[in-house]
Amino acid sequence: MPRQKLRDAAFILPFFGLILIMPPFVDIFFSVRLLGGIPVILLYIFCAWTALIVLGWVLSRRLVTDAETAEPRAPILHPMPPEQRDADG
Amino acid sequence: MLTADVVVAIALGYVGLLFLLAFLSDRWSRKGSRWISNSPVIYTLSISVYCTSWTFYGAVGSAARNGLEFITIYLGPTLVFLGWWYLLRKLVRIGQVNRISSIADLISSRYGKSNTLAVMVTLMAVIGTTPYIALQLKAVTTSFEVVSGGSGDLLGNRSGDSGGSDPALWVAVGMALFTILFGTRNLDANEQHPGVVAAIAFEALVKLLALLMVGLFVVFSFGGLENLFPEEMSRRLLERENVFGGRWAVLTFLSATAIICLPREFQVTVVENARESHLRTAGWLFPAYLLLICLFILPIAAAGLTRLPAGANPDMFVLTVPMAANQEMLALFAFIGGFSSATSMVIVACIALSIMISNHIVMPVVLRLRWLRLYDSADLKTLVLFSRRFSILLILFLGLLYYRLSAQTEALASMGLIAFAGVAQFLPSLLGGLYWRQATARGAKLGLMGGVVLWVYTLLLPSLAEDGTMFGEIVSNGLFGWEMLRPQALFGMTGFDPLVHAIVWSLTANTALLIAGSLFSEQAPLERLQSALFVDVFRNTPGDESRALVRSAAIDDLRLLSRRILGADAADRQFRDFALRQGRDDGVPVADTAFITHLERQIGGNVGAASARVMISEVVSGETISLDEIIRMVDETQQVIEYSQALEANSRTLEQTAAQLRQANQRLMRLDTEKDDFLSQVSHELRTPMTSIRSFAEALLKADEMPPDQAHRFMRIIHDESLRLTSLLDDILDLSHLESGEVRWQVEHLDPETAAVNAIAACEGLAAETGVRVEHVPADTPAAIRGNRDRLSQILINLISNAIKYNDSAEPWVRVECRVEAGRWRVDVRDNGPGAGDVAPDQLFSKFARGWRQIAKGRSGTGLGLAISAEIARRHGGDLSLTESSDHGSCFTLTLPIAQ
Repeated sequence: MPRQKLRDAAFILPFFGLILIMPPFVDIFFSVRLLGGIPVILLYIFCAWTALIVLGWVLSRRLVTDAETAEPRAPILHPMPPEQRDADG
Repeated sequence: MLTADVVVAIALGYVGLLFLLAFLSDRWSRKGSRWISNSPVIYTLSISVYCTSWTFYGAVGSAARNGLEFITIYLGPTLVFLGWWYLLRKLVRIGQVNRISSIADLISSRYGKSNTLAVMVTLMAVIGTTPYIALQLKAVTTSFEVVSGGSGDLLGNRSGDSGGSDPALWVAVGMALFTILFGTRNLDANEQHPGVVAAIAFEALVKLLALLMVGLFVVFSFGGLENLFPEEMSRRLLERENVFGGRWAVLTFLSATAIICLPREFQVTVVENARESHLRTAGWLFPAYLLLICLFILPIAAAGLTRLPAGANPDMFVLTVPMAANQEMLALFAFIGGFSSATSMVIVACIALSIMISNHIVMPVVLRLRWLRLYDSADLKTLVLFSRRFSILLILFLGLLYYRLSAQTEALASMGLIAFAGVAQFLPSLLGGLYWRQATARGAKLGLMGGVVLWVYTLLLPSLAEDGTMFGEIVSNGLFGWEMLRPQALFGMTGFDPLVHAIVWSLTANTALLIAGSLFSEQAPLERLQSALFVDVFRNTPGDESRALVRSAAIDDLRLLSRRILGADAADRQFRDFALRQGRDDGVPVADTAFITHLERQIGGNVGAASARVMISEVVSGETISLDEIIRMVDETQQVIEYSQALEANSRTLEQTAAQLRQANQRLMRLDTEKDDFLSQVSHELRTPMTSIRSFAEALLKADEMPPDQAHRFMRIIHDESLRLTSLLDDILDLSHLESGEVRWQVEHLDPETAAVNAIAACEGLAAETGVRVEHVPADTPAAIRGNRDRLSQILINLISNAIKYNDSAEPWVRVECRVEAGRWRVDVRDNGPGAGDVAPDQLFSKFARGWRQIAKGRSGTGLGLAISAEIARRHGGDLSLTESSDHGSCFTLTLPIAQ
């Protein structure tokens, strides 16, 4: 994935998590019935939580290689003075 | 049977282990071994100081009382760490670049190094943390009593006196000792404490392991989850009214805020961070740690509710459940886990608070009162360390006092969330400072003040209120008896959970005041500079601010000052390093703006930005802050963004232009070749007649007695060749005039049909001579065009005469077909001659192109006729083209626009 898309994904991830654990979505899974000995709602929260961690892990690995190549920040380009820019543009 | 003595001995042994670990880690890192600061896992584990005994014991209690709600406390931080790339990374970067020593330092630095703000944040942090420390002391005491009380007392309700020895006191003393030893051992410019971090990380492992083991034991001793969690238990634990209501959202928000704003969290996440890249690991590993912590909370709560007698204290289930099963070793391990979570919180909180108190309260006072005397003699470094140690003792004393005063009440239990709500008041100023350039110190002060006042009034005061007291009176009837001002139903906002109510009011007021205050006040120059440095931390190059902040100082004053704060060795090293950076090898840097800024930052790492500024200001002269430069800095970062966007757009245009240029170049090269062809062709064409003229003229000159008829024939040839030359030159001139647009001719309305008739008539002689039959097929409808009659005829004559001349078939014919088609007059000149061969159509009409040579080969005419005709057609707005060409004939088509 290109760098900007990765960053966008990193930005979205917490909000995605927020949507997962906030009503109305979490309400859908609110049930005290058991599934394999575990209440459904608990199962849902832990599954969503695990999924978020895995996504975060994948993203952070990608962002590693990405940022390390970009980290020694390129020297800031000093913009041309406006009059020069006009002349060239 | 665990006796109090055994438990004390084991706890002491554990503490001894911590001391050893911290001592060794400190020594290793002093020797240059960097495995602690290099390890992202240790960093992540140290962040889990978030999980205090309030988690270790309290989560199970909360689960038993309120069901699923406990999990919000861990979901909030999970979300914050998942989004590390945006918020935490920026915090850590700012912390490292500006040598931030605490959250108070951060907020004060951002808002122009305002000491007032630093003091406000510090006081608020102390108010929020002291009861929390008391909570830890209480947890240790209670758990100690429970675990040493033997399996007989499973209710876990004991608290208060345990006959003479008071564990809380000893824990406080032990922690004070530990913190002073490893937290204030020396002044480090980074405020990093590898020994403490190693101990905290170790404790994080211990508490996690303890909780997991109790959980596993519970699951296995019940023979699997099915027995532990019958549906009836699931119903009892989880089925509550409106679980995912406002309280769920607010608690998640509060815990997310706490992980950023709690002083101890800020200390481990930002201040102790050795590398920004550690966040990559913490971003997913810390959420995973929290998940593991939460995994067995509900099973333990279920086991406690099933196995223990009714009325047992759910807060002690982690201990009492193993004890009820006679698992004394497990209970002991659980006790050590709880002890770990309590002590690690106390240690880090004390360090964080002591840094804040000494930097923002003690130092400013000292600097103001006794500056001159200190300037002359005393060692400020010792003073800072002393004030730190004193602060630690003070904080622990306050915690102990609070614990003693409130241990018998229930007030302590709710303290965790109240403290969270308290530190949440930092959030608006913090986020505003990080992302909003225009946020001002006045706005931050107003917001913080308003938020804290409302927090005290709507949350803290009701929690302390008892019936019959003054507070109780206020809670039930409102301040001054005004119903509108009831703390838990402010301005008639009823029907909300008290916590939700307090958070909504305090944070809304806080944010609104920050925004309003910022909008209606101006930033001071220094504030503006700091705001640019913080908000654009990823875009500024380090040292940028020295452009805006111009000042000078005597190098000796600077050396004296920094020696007294950093210590002689560290100060000398700074001077040497900077001198090298300036390219001077005498070890004495020039006291320029950059160096003073650098030094201020180093000192700020020890005493806080506000104090460092005061100190530096004392030795600095002629400080000017250039507003223009600040504005330019802010603008420049903006410009860099715009510029790079413009650059991208430019490069796209450039690519297009380059492509166009390439095309133009190709066209030019082709034209150039054509021109060369043209010249060589013209020379050739001129040379042939010239040669014959010359040779015949020479023959005439040499031969004195030439028969008259032969001489006459020679002169005829010379005359004909001259005519050919003239007509060639005429054509070239004509064409060049046409192409340069110099020719002006008379334009009139005319019937093109007459031009066709004229042209055919002109060619009749030639046709009769060669025996070619010429037919004319006129158009059905008459049409008029605008043009020059003679020129039009010229085209047609050229086409028809060509068709006649080159026609070598047995029964040669030429047909001129006129018609009106799609608003244009069209004439096809068709013949049954040999065709144009394989010449490309566009070359046929260009002057002297290769095709021209082939066609003209061995035939009369200049070969410029088609080029001239095409040019004339173009100038009439029309078009001349070869529409058909084969061995059996060809067809030239001329179309002209019909005049309106």
